[in-house]
Amino acid sequence: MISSLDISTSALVAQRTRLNTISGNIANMSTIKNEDGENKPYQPRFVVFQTDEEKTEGGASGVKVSRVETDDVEPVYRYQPEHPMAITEGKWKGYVAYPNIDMNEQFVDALEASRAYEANVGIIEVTKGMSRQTLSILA
Amino acid sequence: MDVQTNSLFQRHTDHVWQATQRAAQHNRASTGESESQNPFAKLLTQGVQQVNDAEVDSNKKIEQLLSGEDINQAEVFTSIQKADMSFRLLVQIRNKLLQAFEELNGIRV
Repeated sequence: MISSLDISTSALVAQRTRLNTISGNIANMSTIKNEDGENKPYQPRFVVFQTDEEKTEGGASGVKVSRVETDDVEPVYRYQPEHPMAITEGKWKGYVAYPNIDMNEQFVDALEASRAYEANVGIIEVTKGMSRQTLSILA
Repeated sequence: MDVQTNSLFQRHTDHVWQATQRAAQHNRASTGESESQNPFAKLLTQGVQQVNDAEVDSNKKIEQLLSGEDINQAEVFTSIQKADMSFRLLVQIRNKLLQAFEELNGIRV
């Protein structure tokens, strides 16, 4: 009973991390400089889930975030020749590179994370109910 | 709230402990067993210890959450729920135990 609580909680934590990366993607939708201040547009991040051996009991496993991957997609170019960050030479002269983040995709992902969270909270409810019912044998 | 829960818990633990001791004395009187070899009392003490550990763990997690440490709410609430579940089980066992003791006590020899 207790280990099923642990498994559901590991899923809650994992989905929270997933929502964090989605928030980051949405927040950086127009970020054209990276962490080091270089003129590189933000690349969308996504999480990779993995079964958690630590929370494995009797064949059932928890879940953990294996790593947060950074995507490598072609940026979106916008013609802004007056912009201080505009590209000065080559094919994209006068253009500014913006992150290529699909808002629809991110929101569908967020919705999925939220629904998965809800489902796991539901399972916790079921576990609690079973525990309460078991106690009624003794009372 | 913490203090109340703990003192309540302590009271329950004391009750259970006293009942166990009395039961152990009865047992010893009838079988001549020594205290350290009483497996039931040991089991019960272990159970109480585990419930206490769960409570201490959840207290620690609440403290971490309230002091702004990086801990997920879900983890905190789960550990509270775990402590609650084991505490309820302990209370039920204590009730059952006391009930049995009262019944035995009521027997006129």
